[in-house]
Amino acid sequence: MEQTLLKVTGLRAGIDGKEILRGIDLTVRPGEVHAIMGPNGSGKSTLSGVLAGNPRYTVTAGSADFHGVDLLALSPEDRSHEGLFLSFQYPVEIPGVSMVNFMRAAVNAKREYFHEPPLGAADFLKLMRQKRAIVELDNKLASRSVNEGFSGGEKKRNEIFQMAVLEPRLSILDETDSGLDIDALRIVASGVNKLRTDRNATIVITHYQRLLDYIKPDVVHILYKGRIVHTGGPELALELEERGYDWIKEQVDNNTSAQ
Amino acid sequence: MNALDQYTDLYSQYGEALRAHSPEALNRRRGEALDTLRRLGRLPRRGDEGYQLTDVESILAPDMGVNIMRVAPAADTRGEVACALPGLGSLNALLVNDTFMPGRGLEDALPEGVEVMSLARAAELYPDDVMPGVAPADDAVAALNTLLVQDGVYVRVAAGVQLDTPIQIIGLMSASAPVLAVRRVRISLGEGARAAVLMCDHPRRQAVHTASCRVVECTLGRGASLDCYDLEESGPDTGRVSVFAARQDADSRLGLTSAYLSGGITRNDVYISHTGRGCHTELGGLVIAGAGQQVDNSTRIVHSQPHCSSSQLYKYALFDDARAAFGGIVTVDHGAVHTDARQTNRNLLASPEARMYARPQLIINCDEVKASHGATTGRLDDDALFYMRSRGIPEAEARMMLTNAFLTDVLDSIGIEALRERLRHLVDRRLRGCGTSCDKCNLPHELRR
Amino acid sequence: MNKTPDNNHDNPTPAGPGRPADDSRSVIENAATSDYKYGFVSDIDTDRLPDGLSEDIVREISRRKGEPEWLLDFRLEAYRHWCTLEMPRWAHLDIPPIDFQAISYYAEPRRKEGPKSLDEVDPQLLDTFNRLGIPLEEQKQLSGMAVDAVFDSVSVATTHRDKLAQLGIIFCPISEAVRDYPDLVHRYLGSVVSYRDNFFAALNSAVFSDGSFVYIPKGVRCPMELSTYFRINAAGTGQFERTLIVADDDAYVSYLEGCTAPSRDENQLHAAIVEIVCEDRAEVKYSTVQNWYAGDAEGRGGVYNFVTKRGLCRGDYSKLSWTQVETGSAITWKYPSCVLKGEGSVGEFYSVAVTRNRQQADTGTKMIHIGRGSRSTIVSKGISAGHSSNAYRGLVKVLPQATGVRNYTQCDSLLLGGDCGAHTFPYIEVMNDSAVVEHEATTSKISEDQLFYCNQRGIPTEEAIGLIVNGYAKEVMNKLPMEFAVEAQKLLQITLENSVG
Repeated sequence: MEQTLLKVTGLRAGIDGKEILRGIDLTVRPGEVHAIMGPNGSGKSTLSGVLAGNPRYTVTAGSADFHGVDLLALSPEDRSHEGLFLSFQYPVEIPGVSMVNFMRAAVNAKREYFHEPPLGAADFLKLMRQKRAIVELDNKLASRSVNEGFSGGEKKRNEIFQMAVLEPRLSILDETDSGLDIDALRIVASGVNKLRTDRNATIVITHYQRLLDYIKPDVVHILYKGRIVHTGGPELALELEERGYDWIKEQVDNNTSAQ
Repeated sequence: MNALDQYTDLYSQYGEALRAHSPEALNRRRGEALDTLRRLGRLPRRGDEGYQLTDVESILAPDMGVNIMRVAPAADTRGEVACALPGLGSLNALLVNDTFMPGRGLEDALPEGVEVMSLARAAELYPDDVMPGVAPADDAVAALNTLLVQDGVYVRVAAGVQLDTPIQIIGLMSASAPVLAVRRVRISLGEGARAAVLMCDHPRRQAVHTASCRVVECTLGRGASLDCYDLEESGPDTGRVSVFAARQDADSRLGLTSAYLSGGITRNDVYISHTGRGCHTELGGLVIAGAGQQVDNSTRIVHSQPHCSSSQLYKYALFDDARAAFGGIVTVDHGAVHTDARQTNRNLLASPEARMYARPQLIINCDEVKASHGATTGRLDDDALFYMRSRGIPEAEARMMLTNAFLTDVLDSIGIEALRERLRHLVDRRLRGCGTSCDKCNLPHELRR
Repeated sequence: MNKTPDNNHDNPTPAGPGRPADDSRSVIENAATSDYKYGFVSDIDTDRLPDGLSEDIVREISRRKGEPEWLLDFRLEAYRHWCTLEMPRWAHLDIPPIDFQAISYYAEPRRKEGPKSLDEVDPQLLDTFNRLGIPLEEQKQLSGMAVDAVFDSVSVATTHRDKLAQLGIIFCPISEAVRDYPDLVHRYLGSVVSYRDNFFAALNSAVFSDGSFVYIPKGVRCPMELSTYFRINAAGTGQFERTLIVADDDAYVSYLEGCTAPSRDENQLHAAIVEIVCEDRAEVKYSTVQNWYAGDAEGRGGVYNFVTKRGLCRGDYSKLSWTQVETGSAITWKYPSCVLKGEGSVGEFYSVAVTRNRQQADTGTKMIHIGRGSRSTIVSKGISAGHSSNAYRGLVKVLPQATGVRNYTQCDSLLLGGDCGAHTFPYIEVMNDSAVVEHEATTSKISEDQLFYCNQRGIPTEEAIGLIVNGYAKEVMNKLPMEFAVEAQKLLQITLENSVG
């Protein structure tokens, strides 16, 4: 398939002058599921944050083409409108802002971006109801403030619910499995799978293989010290599960010191 | 000549005329007030204890007229129409500058045991009740008010009367020349009475500088329950100094929610005292201030009786070069056992030029108490902002929603739903920069942020 | 059931057993039976100036100390400024009028020559310090702490100077520093606390007699705790010491200060200045255990402790940490402060203040944020008992240019008994929108449940209170250097004995 959804080239980025990503190259095509794995501190969350436009990070070099749009030139909200969705590792609690108002603002901002009229109240509520079913999200959560008082599992389901509402072309799931028990994991994964089409793509960022039992990746990348040091098929994830990350570290560190 | 002299001089020169145009009951206390003011020598200045921000001198320094001869203002009830709460038949009274005007059909609508009338008239009917001496005698603003007051609003709810309809006191400024409105509101609730009073301040014309010097004195009988709402939506050329003082009898409950949505320079002082056990006081404050605006709330609650409680929540959102202050003193006297006093002040600085001065204070002279205060000043949470933007909500909208969310819990405690929703709506509009309330109101509003 | 402290002026009355030989560093050891262990008066011949303050007295102090012209000028300017000031009136402190002409501004233990070594120090004086638990003799041998002892107006002995000198560290009486390092002293003296700062700063600048001077050169970490013990002995004198600590780039020092005074009927005035300068990446930790005589149960006598302490974090990423345990003095007025000028500089203030009987304390800190990314932490624990009054007063100020500032303040007050007061007066001024400033304060009494729990386990009430209070103050006590922490803990316990009805 020659069509690309996301093409990241030579991406370097850091925080407070400290470089974390040291040249990332990544190509994602429609319909694909990529897994990015790596030990703690390798830069996984930085990568997702940089792609989504978290102002905390500074991009120092490289480019990211998102279906013909210069992703790095966009504000976080425009990246969202263009179809990028980040499922947060730690979904943020926003006291005082109800889920309903939050989602209505999000949906209508996107519609406005595409010069569509805002969704009427009835249609909006119908949409919410529909999408909630995908992740079995309780109706009562909708009346609460965003993520406030949600359990770990509810927060992650809420992320996937929002993903379902916003219908992104590329979803980045940042450590979505962390803090989930097996049932929650199954619900979240099945939600993600239900939303898969051959037009959109998913990047699953994870430390463990566990989530990949439920969301089957086509490509697995290993991120270490800010670079993708290894790319392979699903079998790579299994190998990591078995052997841990040490062999990768050794391999990379030896290569570096040999240079 | 300082600002105070200009008023004491005015009184020396025109005191006779002023007294002649006032009921006797209001004249009784002027001498005492004059003595106090002479003793104080001047009005509070910036830098005085408790006045880190506000210069009362400069608010009252401009040469403004006082309506000594009681020239009746043009009757104009447009404000009443604009401010009426939807879904609630309210009992309205207008204060045009410092002159009482009954709202449409007020007298017919008053239930048994409820009186809402001109303070001047009440001074004839209840000469001993119009000046209960609840506001502290040494407060310069209160003394100035006592020196010059000629009219205002008198509200009396008889013992045992449960009033469901809120009483609304609409303050309007209407002047073609600079004017000082000396307003006084007296609210008296008998034993076991219940009432809600909404006071709102609006400008009529903005071409001239106006100021109000307002004193609200409340007394609550045993077991009474009073909810007061104080909304300021005045213009940039307005100065306001206000003293709200309440004395609560045993087992009474007082709620005061103040909201500043627009105005010029404002200083509000709140004094609460209890005379019996089991009182509860709840103060809420919401401030949205922008370019050129300055707001200063100062509260003093004295817990002198056992088993009383108080809670305070003041939240500020400051934009542009807004200046604001919060000072709150909670005193627990020796013997006021089982006092439970809480105070919270949270401030949001949304601009590099905004300034906040916070001064919460606890003075505790009794060990069997729970007392705490907290004050924070900061900005919107970066993580929340990014989270919202990553969901496609534009930054400005996200900031607005977060600011709204930050302020909203001050309004949560408002028991009258229509009022709560109305205030929410006003706050929302204000944050969206749509001027102030009156989308259906024809009062001039040029208050864009 | 407080005992009246010993007020015998003429005969030193040992309180409690003498200094235990096995633990020479213990200041508080075995004091459990005494209300104020340090209330004895030493019979030492003192040479003192007549009472009162005038330009002549200022000149005489300067002459006696053989000071250079610039320092005399500094004193005179301060004196003249002081004459224009009035004693401040503070809210919540009830201070009887002080007759500043009835105080002797200089008292010096009489001696022929300055002591060359400890062997030459008056044995009576050594005994005094031994009884205070500060054995200079042994300190000389023991590692871990270097001590400067200030007796009334004069520094009488400084230990460990040789060892410190090898590292380039200067630790000596400030009067010697004026003589030996005039450039350093001239450069820094008054640079943090101007004599114009306040009434007592002006007074101190005019008449300061002695105090400690510390200079840590670039890159040096001082290997031992530096320590000064202050003692007011002579009657009718004030103590006006002045401490100046300079930590050059990348330097580190931990400094301890201890204070005691005899029990006397009259009030004694202590008006000290502490100035600290931290250059780039320097760190200074300043710990105080203040146990001046607090007066008797009826509020007679005791020290008026009016102290100006301030540090300037001038360098980037410098750090100044104040820790204080305040148990003494009839009236305490002090706000150890940090001027956080350097980028990323850090200020800390940890305080435990205990008041009982008729004591009054008004103490806290000021954190002035000027530098970008500067941070400060304030933890204040007040404990009030008897008829005392204990106030926290603190200022957190963020100036417009200071971006990214963070402050956290926590003030807790514990009330023991229904006749005391606990007050909290924070001043928060924020002029930069990127700052995050948080203040929290609570007031509570000792929990009856906790007391009962302890009682049920066989712990008597007094001991239980000691335990609970120490737990309550732990966050601050943990900041003290180890040697001090143990002593401070005992001090807390002793101070609170008999104070709960």
